[in-house]
Amino acid sequence: MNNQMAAPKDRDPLLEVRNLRVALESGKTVVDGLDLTIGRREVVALVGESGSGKSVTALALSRLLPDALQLVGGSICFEGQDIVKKSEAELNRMRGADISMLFQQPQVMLDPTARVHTQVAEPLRQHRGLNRRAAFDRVVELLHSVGIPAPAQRARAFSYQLSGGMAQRVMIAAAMAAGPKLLIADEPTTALDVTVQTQILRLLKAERERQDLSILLITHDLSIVSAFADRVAVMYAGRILEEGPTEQIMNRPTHPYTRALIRCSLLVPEDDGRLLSIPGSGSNALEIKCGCRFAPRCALMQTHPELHAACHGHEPALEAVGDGWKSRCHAADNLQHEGDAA
Amino acid sequence: MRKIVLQRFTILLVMLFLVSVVAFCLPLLSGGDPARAIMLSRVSDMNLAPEAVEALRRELGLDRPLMAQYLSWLGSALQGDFGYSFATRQPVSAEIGRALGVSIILALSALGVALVVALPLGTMAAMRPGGKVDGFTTLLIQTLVATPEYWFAPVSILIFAIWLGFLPSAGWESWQSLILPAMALMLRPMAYFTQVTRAAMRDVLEAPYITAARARGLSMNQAVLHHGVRNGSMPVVTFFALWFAGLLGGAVVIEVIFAVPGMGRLLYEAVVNRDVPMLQGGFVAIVGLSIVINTIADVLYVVINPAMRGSHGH
Repeated sequence: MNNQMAAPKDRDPLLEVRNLRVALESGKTVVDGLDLTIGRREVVALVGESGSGKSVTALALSRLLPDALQLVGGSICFEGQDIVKKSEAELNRMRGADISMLFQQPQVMLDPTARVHTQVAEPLRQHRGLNRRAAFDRVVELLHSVGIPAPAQRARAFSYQLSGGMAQRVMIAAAMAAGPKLLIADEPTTALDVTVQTQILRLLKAERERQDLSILLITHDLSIVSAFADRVAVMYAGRILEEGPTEQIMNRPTHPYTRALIRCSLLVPEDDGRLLSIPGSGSNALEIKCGCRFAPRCALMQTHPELHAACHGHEPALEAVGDGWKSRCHAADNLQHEGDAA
Repeated sequence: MRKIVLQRFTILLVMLFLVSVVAFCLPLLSGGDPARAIMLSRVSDMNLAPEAVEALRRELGLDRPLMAQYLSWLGSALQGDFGYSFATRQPVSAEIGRALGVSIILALSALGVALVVALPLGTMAAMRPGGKVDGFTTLLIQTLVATPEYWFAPVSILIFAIWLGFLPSAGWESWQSLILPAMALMLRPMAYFTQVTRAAMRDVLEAPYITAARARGLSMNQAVLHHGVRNGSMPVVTFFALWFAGLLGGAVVIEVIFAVPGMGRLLYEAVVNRDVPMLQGGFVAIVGLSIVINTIADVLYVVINPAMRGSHGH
């Protein structure tokens, strides 16, 4: 079991995103050439601050972008087929059956006028051809399996009668109903109590073990990442800045942005007693056309003035720094050796 | 659920009580001496003998305290007795019952057709903003709103009754008599219903639960049908109730043009004739019915959207 998980690259990846580009109608780019690979039974965390394009990526992967956003380029290969080229009918057959989604605020994701069971049953009726009665029985089983007490009664409840945690369990039951191969979870625990967060993450882990499931976990919470993800992709201004195995990245990040994110998440005071925050904001970084997009906020710039020319001159490529480990930084090698020395 | 219905019903009773008080006070507010007015309506002689007026006042109990008068009026009103019309000498309640029946049929057919057109049209317009259906809808709404019924009604009589000759031009004899007035009456509500449906569905289509439903594999049409229409129908219910209540006594122009014996025309004539009992009865009937209709709409909300139970139940 562990061997299988440790070596997912031995087989074809489940999802392979190449050069994904999403833009606003106005032409402003939101996701700018994103590359991402998810292996079978692998949990990949997509990390970044708000505005980095994480949620847009999630919607783009299942082709559910709102009208204002358009997928303008790239490919999304899922089991050898390009999702970008799929017709609407093919997408409808894929969503909920092969690729399911979880969202940030489970309560508003449920229709307030429909009972829980009709919504959880939708993938079953849509993709598995179950009739109403059979679907209801299966829904009760599903609700039981995601840890909802008195599932037969809860099945008839409305969303306003559920707590946030319960609603997210319902959403998980619906997402898992048709046995998908990939679950895209967009900040599934952000809106929940801390104790409930842990329960939901445990539940997702259990689902992964039970089924042949890969998970793309979108989050800004690095504490979740180390406990949960096999691999991490760090996103900034519509691009991946660093990607690799969780353990390596969390211990020896090779990108100044990853480094800063990890230090922020540790909540350890700096020498002057204040908590670290990355200066500036990433909201305008997409407009940087020349040089590294993180350069204006990069701590390395202050300590290593000799890097100025390179970092403001041209943008580094996402290059391998180890086995399955890539970084988009001119100083990646130096940072890695620094980490080794430390 | 039962709690909300009970709560609404209590409010309904209080409102109806207030309506009865206002209705009772109507003739008092209009000034003048009711006994004198009644005498005048019977013998159009301006030089009434004061003794005769005094005798009538005693006979009618108008010399009693106001409270006693109200209670006896309320007692009869509760039994459906609003007295006799000054103009026709018929029982007011019978006349109102007949006219109300006509008005309800007219209003419901006009609003029903308006709704049947507006719901799909508004939904389709909302699904493709800026598309062909949306453009057509906008044009239709503007045309309907800009068409005055006092123009449309005679023109429709000219075309369908006089030139083509297959619909009656006026009166209330057969189901054919219903068609022209209902058509004239539905113009404006059809426009507003379409507009409200479109706006409501625009909001609903962007709702997170629609995205979530599509993520489960529902097509856009399925998601709208299963999760959109019900949520989007809430404002439409409000508008339907408002228009229904409004048309019961408010279709005066149409009822007069097409000689439809409905509430609007009845009250219009009552005003012209200074027919106080008829006005009182009509006021109670229309305002009372409006309150009942709005109460039904309130209860309907909760039936449509159970989440409202949380906000209303306490």
